[in-house]
Amino acid sequence: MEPNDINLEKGELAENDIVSQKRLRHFLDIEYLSQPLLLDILDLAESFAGVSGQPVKKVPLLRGKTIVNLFFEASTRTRTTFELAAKRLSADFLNINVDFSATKKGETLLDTLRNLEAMHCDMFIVRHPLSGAAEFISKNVSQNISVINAGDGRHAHPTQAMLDIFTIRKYFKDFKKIKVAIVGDILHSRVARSLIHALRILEVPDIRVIGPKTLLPSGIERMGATPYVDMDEGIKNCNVVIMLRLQNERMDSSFIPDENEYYNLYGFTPRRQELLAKNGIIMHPGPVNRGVEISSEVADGDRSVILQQVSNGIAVRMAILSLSMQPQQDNK
Amino acid sequence: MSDLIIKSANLINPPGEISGIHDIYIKDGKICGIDEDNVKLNSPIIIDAQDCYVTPGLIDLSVRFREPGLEKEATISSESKAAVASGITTVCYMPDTQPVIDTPAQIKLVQEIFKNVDLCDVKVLAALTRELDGERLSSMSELKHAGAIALTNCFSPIKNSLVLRRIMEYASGQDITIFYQPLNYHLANGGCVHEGEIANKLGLPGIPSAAESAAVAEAISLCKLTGVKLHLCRISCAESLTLIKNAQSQGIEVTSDVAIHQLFFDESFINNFNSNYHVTPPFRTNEDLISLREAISLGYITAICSDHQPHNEDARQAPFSSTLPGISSIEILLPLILDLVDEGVLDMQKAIEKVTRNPALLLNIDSGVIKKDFPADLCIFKREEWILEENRIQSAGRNTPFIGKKFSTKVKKTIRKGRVVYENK
Repeated sequence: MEPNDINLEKGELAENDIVSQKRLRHFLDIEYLSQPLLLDILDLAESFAGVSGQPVKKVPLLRGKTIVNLFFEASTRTRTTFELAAKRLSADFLNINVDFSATKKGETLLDTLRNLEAMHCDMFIVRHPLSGAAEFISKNVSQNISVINAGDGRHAHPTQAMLDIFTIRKYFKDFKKIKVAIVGDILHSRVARSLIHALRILEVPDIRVIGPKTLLPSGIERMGATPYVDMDEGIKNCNVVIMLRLQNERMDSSFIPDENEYYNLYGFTPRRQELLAKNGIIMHPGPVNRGVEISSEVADGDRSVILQQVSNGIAVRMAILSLSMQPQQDNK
Repeated sequence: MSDLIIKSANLINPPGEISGIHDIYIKDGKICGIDEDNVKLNSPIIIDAQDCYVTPGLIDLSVRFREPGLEKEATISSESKAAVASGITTVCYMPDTQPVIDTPAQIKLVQEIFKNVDLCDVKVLAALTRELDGERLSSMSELKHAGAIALTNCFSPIKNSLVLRRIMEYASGQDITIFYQPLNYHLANGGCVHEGEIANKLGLPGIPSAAESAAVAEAISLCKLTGVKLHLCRISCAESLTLIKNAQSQGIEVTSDVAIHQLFFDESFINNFNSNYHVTPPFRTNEDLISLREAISLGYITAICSDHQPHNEDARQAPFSSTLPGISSIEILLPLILDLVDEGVLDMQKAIEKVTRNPALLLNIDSGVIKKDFPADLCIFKREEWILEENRIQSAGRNTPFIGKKFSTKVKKTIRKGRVVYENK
């Protein structure tokens, strides 16, 4: 590194992340991944999708490896699908739920990591309430451990974005011809950020984000998404609409007036289904707030692919886990 | 104390004062003459300053040496060594120690430790409110008489606009200068980076520029109402500069400063969650950076300070928003100032003024100029390349993004009250 060029740090993430086009060092963020790599992951996931349908739902790819779910924040869906993905790859699996507030009081994040490293694990799947936590952990674990980001603060949720585009590809073969809208609390959403990156890399020509101005980050255009405050206008002729969960605390901190007004302005009602393109589908990363951001008729209707997303999550996570596992090393 | 003669020094002085190559004569800690052969010195030590520049000793408007209370981070002894390595002879000491400097006894304690370390002078800023709680006024007059040079509430919020008005009114009556860190804490809302592109991308909570400019606007209005001597600290955005410029053109006497790192970085450097770029106020856009450099050159910003905030390694070992903000930068203040000269932002004289005479004038102290009968506080430097290496940093804080940077200026000697307190061979 040129001593005078303090700028150089900027490309570091990409190098840290990818060992080669076919193998990942860590899986932290989608931003720096290439289109061929994303498509490879989807193809691999496709081949794993069959495993769940077999009488013996296991392949021996990660036999003898130890994977730890390290969750500093509550989760059901993500935690469970990672666990199933790891087990179907024959890995030994451990769930550790760390009360974030407890770690704040005593043991630091680094100490927690050191202790787990001492147990000779091969991979950490991390969820943490702070943006950048997975990145921080990846920089502080020993060489032979891979880190998978299962959601960090508002920053990224890359495996969710991967399973979303996997689901989209089931319906639309050509990403370059579709319109995609993400609706709701974009400001606080790691799912939205990772999805926008993925869609941009796959050259989706029309990416929209829809919500009240208080929940749309200013300058979101620079990430490649067009903001809409009017839901009807925003979802018009879209092929894919992804609804985000509205957290209750948004009402308490004056982002929106109340659930009722939100539902009227941004709730996905049967009437709004008619605005989509003919083949349009509706997605939701879960958990769904029925009657807040989406009506039951829509969530359970024939355009909804919400439950397929969950099933697809296992295959996509199997693909990411197998690509990220490091080859055997002698020491340790 | 020996007398000194500094020979063939290239003097950098404020406009109207003697400049160029001269000999400086120093007796009893004071400058007793420039080029005056007839001054009688007692077997003086002669310092040959050929090929070197000599400036007044630097005055740093904001430092935190962490003592008392946070000695695990840094001490007055460790940080004074770092300060003199940058030609600094006077530091303004922020009151957010543990306990807070809000009593005359606390001021005396800090002054005493500086006296024992005996490397640079300290001007203590005491707390504006008790324990910096933003509500109960400190005993301003007592603090002033105990030696507080000005009062500040540091980064702690003032409870509301009415309390701020009372504080300013009372301080104005006691002829006390207020160092005010403009930030509307409701708008800042716990953010840790500039609300903009990087905050969006990294999902970090942002602080909008308006959180600063709204507070600047309020402070200027109340300054006009109360007539207090107001100094606005650590300006970071273009909107604030417009307000300051307008106030100054209306004859409102408001001064301001900027932290040296704000003149080198914008938000894009945080791209990779690098906590070395975690500062308060946050690095803003490239347009803001350009405006800050312009304001320095045009003089709306009166002074530049190091805003030195050393931290130990533990403070950095966490995800970005959990790390402690601040950069350890005191020992590279002068080299960075000269980088601004090399980059054409300021000429040498103006650049040096921002860290010498201008801070002296706003603190109302007899310093910041090389002149007969003034204290012999001097910095001798040479244009010479060197690289900042982590293991050679004098400060206890290694929290700086400047590690590995090449500088073109090296301080050779720092002289305080006629005594050499730093020497680089």
